[in-house]
Order: sequence, then C-alpha cells, then structure tokens
Amino acid sequence: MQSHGYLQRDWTDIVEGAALPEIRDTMSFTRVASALSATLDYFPVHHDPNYARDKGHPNVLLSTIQIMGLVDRAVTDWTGPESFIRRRSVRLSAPIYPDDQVRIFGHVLAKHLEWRGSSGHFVDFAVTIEKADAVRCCDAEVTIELPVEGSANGWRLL
Amino acid sequence: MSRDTHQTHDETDFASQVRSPADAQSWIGVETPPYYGDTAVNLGTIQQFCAAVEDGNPTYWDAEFAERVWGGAVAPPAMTMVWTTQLPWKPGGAQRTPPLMSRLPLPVDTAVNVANETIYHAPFRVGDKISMTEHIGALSEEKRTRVGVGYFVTTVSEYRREDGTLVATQTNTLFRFRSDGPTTGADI
Repeated sequence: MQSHGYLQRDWTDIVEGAALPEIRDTMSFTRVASALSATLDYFPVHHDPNYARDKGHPNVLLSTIQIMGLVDRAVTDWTGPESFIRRRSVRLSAPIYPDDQVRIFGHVLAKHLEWRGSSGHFVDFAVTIEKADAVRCCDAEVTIELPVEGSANGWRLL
Repeated sequence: MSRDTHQTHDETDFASQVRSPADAQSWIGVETPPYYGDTAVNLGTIQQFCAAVEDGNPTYWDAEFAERVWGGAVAPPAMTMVWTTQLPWKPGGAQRTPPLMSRLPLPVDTAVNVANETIYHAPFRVGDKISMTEHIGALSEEKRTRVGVGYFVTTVSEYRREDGTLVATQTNTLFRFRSDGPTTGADI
C-alpha cells in the first residue's frame, strides 16, 4: 500500500524472521552534540569530554534518548510511517562514543492480533546496535501497531 | 512529604551528599508531585531530534501527511523524557528539578544508564503540555561492576496530557556508582 509516496508495509505481508535493512552510521562528535538541545539531556557525560574522561570514558557518549530514536527509526524505516510504536525495551551495554561506526540490525520476532488486552495488528521486533569488533551496544525489542487495512481514516490520534 | 530539596550547581553532575543507602530505601514507592517541562510538545525540537537520529519519517516532516494519518503533528516516542525536562537556564534563575533517579541520595559520583522500557498508550501531540509523576520502583544493594561500585536504581514514570490522559509509562534502570578512574570504557 502506497501512502503519499511513502511505502507503508501491510501487516498481512509481514513474515516472522524477516530482516530489517541494516543501517550503518558513523556517530560523529557533531551528531552526538546535535542531540543536546533536542533531548535536553544535560548530564555532562553526553557533552563534556573532560567530565566524561574524568569518569572513566574515552569521550562523551550517546544518550539513551538518542539511542532509542535510532532503534525506533530502524523499525519504522521498514514498517512504514503509519506505524505506531506501542512498546520499546532497550538494554544498554557498551557506550557509543564519537567516531564509533555503529551497525543497527534486526528482524521480526512475531506478529499477533492482541497486545495487552487490545486487539489490532501488532508486530514484535528484535533490534541490535553493535559497533566495531561486534561489540554490543544495545539490545532492544520493539512492538509496533499497524493500522487495520480498510479503516477509513488511519489512526486519527488513536 | 518533605525531604531535602537542596540543589547545588552539581545537581546534574549526579554527585550526591554521602548518605546511607538506608535513607534511600525509604524513598521506594513514594510518588512525586507532577513535573512539567518548560515547553509544550513542539515541531522545532522534534525536527532537531529527527536530524540527530536521521529519521525521515514523514510523520515529522510532512504536515499534510501528519494531518491525514494522525489527525495532526505528533512527536517521536523516543522523545518521551524531553517534554518534562527543564531548560538549563531560565530568567529569574528558576531551579531545575533533576529526575528522581538522580536525586535519590546515594554515596556515588556518577552514573550510566542500563535499561529503559516504555509503553505508549497514545501519541505525544504537538501542543500538549505534558506532566510526569514517578516513583522509585527498586533499589539494588551495593554492586561492583567493571565501571565501579554502585546501585541499580529503577524508576517508574507516568507521562500525562493536561486532561490526565496517560500517554506513556516508562521503567528505567540507572546504575549510579563511584567511578574508579580511567578505564577502557568497557560496558557493565
């Protein structure tokens, strides 16, 4: 189903095990810095290299909010922009530092017609972020809900 | 409830007065009053965030699409915490209230986030003034990890619209610790 020139994937076409397109991204210092005013996460470890080094890191590190944004994007880039994220669980391990080259990949874990007592079209994903040498940065699970085919107005703010 | 709300310049430094962890235990389960951010959910901050994660979802860039699909502009769910975080400065020198996870008195000097689970009940709509209440869900005993000695602090936060509609429920675990000094930056 095409939506305004953007591909919206249909729940019935999604297959368990299907792989998300891998995203390779270099997190430059500028990318880390660009998140500061957009996240208001002023914990100094995210923008002050002296603080970060004083606390044992080689440099500043990506905030949880920015990592969650990358995870969500990896899913909705594939499922389509009419997807609503119902649940996202992230477990963080190795920090992501400037100039780290990250690989974001994942796959469909399951699809189901019910979630927490509500019926609808739901898909579960596993998403992983790794950096060089396959060092694990983030393990995530995401549950998205897709609009039910044939409903007249999409979500209309649920 | 009354508790010490003394805030120093170092509040965002995760530095704490040295207290006994038994003091911290008494905070478990106690719900905070609502916090508000300084700005409503807004498109400027949304697009800055999308640029930082390179998210081209037309939901955030195409007003006509957002209107047609969502009934109006909405924010990326990853921005949940942003809407109730205060600016680092405001006229009149208003104090920032750090999140509960970092206010909890523990003998530590820094922290690293470990886990976050968020459930979304409804979208964050542009224009919404969001409030948040939270409580400490769990506090571990002292643990030693590769980064230092500290405590796993789990907070449960609820984010609501002005009319009380629950938008998101978040469970976050932060490891607050005493840094041992320079390391390889290895993970926990």
